[in-house]
Amino acid sequence: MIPRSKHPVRLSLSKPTFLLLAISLLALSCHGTINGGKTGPGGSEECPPAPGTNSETERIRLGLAATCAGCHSTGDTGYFASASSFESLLVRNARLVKPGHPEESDLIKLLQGNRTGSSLRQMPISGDSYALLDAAGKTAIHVEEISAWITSLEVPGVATQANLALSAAHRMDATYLEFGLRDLLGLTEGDFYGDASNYGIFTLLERSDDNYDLRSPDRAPGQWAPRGRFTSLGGASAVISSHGDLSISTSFVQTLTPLSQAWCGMAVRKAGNAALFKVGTPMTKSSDRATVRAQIADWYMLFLAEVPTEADIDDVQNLVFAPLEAKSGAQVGWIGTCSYFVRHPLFVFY
Amino acid sequence: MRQLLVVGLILVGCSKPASTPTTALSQGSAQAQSRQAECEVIAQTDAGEPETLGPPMSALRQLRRMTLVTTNRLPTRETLKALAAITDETAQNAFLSQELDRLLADPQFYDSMVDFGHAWMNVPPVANIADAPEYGLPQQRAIIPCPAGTMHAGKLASPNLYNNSEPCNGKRYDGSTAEVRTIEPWWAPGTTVDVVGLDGDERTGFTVGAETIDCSKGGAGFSYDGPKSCGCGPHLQYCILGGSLQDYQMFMLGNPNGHRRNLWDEPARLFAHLVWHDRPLVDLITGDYSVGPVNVQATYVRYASKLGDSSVENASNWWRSSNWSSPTDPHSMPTDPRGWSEFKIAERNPFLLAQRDYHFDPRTEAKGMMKGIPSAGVMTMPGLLAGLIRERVRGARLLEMFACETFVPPPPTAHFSPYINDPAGGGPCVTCHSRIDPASIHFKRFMRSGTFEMLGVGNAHLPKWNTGQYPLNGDPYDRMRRLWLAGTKMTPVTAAQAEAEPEALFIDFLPPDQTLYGATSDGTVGPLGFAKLLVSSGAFDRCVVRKLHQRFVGRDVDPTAEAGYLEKLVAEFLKNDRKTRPFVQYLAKTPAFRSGL
Repeated sequence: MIPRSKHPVRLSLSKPTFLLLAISLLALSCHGTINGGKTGPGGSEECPPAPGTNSETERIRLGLAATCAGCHSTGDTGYFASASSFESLLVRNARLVKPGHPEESDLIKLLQGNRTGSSLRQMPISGDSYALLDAAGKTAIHVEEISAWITSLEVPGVATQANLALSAAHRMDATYLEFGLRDLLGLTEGDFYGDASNYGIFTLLERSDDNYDLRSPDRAPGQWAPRGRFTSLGGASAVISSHGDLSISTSFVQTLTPLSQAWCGMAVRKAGNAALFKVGTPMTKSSDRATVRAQIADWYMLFLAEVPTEADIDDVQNLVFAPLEAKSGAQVGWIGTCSYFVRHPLFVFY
Repeated sequence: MRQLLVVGLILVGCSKPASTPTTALSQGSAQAQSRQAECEVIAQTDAGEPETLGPPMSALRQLRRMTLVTTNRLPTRETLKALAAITDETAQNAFLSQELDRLLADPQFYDSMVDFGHAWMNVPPVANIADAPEYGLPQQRAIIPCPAGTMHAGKLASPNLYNNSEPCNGKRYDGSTAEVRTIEPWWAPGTTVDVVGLDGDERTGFTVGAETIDCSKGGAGFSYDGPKSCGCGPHLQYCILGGSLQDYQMFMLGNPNGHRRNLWDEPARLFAHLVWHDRPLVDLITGDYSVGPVNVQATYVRYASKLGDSSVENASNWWRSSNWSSPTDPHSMPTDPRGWSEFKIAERNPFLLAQRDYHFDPRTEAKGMMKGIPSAGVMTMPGLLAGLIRERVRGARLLEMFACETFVPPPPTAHFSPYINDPAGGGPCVTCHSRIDPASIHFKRFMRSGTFEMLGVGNAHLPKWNTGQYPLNGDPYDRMRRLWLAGTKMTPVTAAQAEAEPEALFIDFLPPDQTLYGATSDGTVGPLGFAKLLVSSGAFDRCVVRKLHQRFVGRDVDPTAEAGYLEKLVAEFLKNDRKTRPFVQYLAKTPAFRSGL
């Protein structure tokens, strides 16, 4: 058995090599546990059976699913979302399934329509109970088979680890842009808004629509004329009863692109913006190669939280900054480079 | 750049036999949690393949993630460089741990939790009840500055009185001189305002002939200058400072000190307060305290007066913030009247009881004897109850908020028994109402009937409310009469009981033959009874953990695919007494947090 490690091992490998190694490690690690589900780390104690290893449980799941999956496929009662959810949410729920004791299991009582002491007396929740449907030949599996399965059931194991495949990357929330990007670029609320009064209340008035200001509708002071940009970026707002949307939607991309250009334009042109220019200036040209590269490296760290390689810097310098500089001058080169970083996947995702 | 790949070692470990079937997910027993924590079994896909391990994030990327999720900001250049200079993994982890502690102590963390609270609970602001800006929640009448050009321009008086400018020009209804009084107003302790005429009268009551006038019972609207008219009471507590009766300053949500905004803000502020002051998050729904600036607290006080208990309003100086010393938001001093300071709800509204197990059965106990309804954090907040105006909307929305409930319509092939009179008993609506109605029963007594009432509490008794006779017709009585039917899940009384006592239909606790998420009520009335069911069933803890995971890790926990992981997280959450900071610190060390781009 492969010893347990607290931290994943980081290797620099080609993808095929990695996959081969990973597969072989997985095969080694699975030995004796996935299949048998009996042996603990020292071989002296028992584990519950691993999920999905009981074929009778799988047969029961598929049999019940024909009647029950319509309502029970999501959330805390999403028993039929998958084999593992059936096992973790239903089979391991001692209130519903008491191994060895079908007569004490609420699942059987619900199917028979004789559960007491609960708001739910039967399943399906209304109409004929499962037992009546069964008697009428309208189910895929009999109540007796389910009872027999519970009688001989051994509680399955359950994964206590996160599914790391789901944890990979998350898109930035609109609020992260509203505050995080604004501050990173050295911009302030005053760069976007002037003061106004609405019914005697202090209100923010956009200085220019071209600035692509971004402000949650929930914020106070409020805006003179609120924009929909925050919700276009998927931001949640209780004031307008809008739930957040963190998908890579068309509206997100279409909003982020001009916003990145407008904000970077403001930030690069902002006099003495030390938050953005720590090495060079908006006028630093390719002729000062060392400073350009140092500035790009600085932004790489600032925007992406990555230490760039020389090749990374080459890419940005040669493919982003230099062409824009050649066409429109150094300032535009820096604006384009800045907005490139804002739209970089490592910026958009965290 | 992205050549680093992970080969994680698969964890296989157990230390206890599996023969005892005591692992009840829904019951959340300590034994089950302990067992799950000890017994890690290989995660699989349904195809029987082990899960894919994601790439670990670099320390710099972890820093970026933790800064974003705690403060809505990105890490500074200086912090990034300091971490980048560290090459030893142990030292990097120590740096990250230290930085997380710093972030969690930053007031921006509190601010981000206010935003998160709103995104989570998504309580809408109370709507206008007639033409905007009228929204009903202020139960005081407005007083405003006298208009320019009058004798007392700038001094305060009631809006109707300046129609003929009599008080503002120094005259009362009988031609006598309108007195000008200098008063310390409740909304701005430590300052004074000049009030003209009737409104400056601070008496709480008086007699005219044989008639006794109780001034605390006045509500919103105009005042009428006359021999039986009241003033604004002690420190003007019967009145509220506004631009006019139609007051946009109170109404507009963009006003940081606006009354409507502050009441909308209260649920999210309580959440942020609990996080910031390391309180158990269960206090969000079971706590006997809330937070609020003076105008939020005044709403609680005023509601008590409207229900017949003006003891707080008349006899105490609760509003004098110089006496306040309770915890507040990180941007305010405890004595700031506009700070989000903690207060005991029952000390503002005695009808929102401090007692945690109050029972009252209107089927058997005499009308008029109900002491009140136990306070229950956000669930007895005036802004939330007025924003979610009906009991079933409240039940459904609060299940979504605090049990992570999702209401999915039944499949088209489903068969239902006929609908008779109870959506929780038959018909296609039963799929959702089997859960909504056992929740909604707890919210029936909070009703807007002209003013915001607690039905059957204090002086809010409505004789023959179900007769349909004027003035007990129209909304909400017609709806209550139509939907609060004896013998239904939401109104579990017999027809005979309802006939004998119409207020029996206000029943607001779950009887023992009903359950919610498998839990049985202890009989506590009102929202607190509902909150207890959410907690005892485990639904609240599972939901809160999912919400916190969503916020701080970046994604929800899928209860169907990660039930064991969820239970492990819940055990960790409970281990630290449901406090947020320790749980965030735990999450930041999990593989889920440390995996990603």
